[in-house]
Amino acid sequence: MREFFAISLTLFLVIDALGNLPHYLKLISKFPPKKRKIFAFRELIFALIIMYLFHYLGKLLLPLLNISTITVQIGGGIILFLIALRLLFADEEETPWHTAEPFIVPIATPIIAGPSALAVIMILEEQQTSDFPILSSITLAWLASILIFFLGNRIYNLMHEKGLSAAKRLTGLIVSIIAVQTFLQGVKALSFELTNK
Amino acid sequence: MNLSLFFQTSFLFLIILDPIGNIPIVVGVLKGFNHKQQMRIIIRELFLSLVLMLFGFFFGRAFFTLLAIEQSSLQIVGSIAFFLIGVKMLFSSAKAEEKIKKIQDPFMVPIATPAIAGPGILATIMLYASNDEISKTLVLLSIFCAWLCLVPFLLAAPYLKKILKENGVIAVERLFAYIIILIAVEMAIAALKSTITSL
Repeated sequence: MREFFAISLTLFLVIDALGNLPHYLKLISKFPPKKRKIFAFRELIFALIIMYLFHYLGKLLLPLLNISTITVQIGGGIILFLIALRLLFADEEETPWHTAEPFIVPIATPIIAGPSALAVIMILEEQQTSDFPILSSITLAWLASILIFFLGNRIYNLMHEKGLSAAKRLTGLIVSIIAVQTFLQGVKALSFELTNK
Repeated sequence: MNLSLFFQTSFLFLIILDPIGNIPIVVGVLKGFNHKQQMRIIIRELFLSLVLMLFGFFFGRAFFTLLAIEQSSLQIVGSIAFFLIGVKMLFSSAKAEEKIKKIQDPFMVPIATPAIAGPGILATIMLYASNDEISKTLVLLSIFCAWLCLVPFLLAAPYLKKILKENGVIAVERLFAYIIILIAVEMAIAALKSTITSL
């Protein structure tokens, strides 16, 4: 149970709903006001479907690449750390996600189900044997994220651009701590395996 | 022949060849040409890249045997190289296109090398060619297999970018970067294990 919430929280932090809120609001304002809620919901559903798909893709891919649990922990720690670095030192102009007609790209992916979140989903596989815990923790992280997106305008008025970018940086800091913890777990497991040989 | 190993090797080669990441480069370089010319250039560059990879395969083997380089040190070097490739892909995908725009005649450079047969894939091929545990025919077949899988991607480049859009290409490339990093860590751990157990 504790692990379930840990995965959800990690995923929620990596999705970085607060940090992505300004992009989301800018894009969503392109929809006609009356249909805005429906279109937004459509994009969010697509994001959830994409995340589910990547859960199964990871299940397919990791054995194919012959990747062990220890690798997943150490490599996952490194990947999470790189994600954290991206969050910490994000350059606002670096990724201008803009297209004329937002359909799946860029709201569903990469803003919500971005490469970072998808990589984390794929890596989570090894630690769990059955599908259900992962799928439900994806859903939980998704629900928390869409709550932020639906309250988007209010949160934006409350926090403004500066507050949101501060939240992004704070998220980066927390993710980097999780990253180091995951990495150390992997190192522990590796040293345990080496000494027991 | 070990089929799963063949599949794994081909897949690794293909992922380092980075079919989707090469699309923006191909599209960017060939912007000024019409469709027919574009296709002709892409096919020509694909064959040149295959020649380069085969060169790496035959030359690399002799090179490593000459220097008597150990398996695990190659593995560690390879994993560091992969790691750096992954990190570079992660942080500079948006800027790669601008750099390459300035070159006029796209013969050999920049599509055949370094975009397709770059240092990453050449190092990997050399690494596998000098691995005694893997049969040479398997590696050779894997090169052909990965190359064949790459062909449709590059031929579709002029169309694919329209579908994925620039954002999609960047996102897919970043995901590939994470996978490459994971492969790097796996290699490093394998090398570490074999070194420590042989002490």
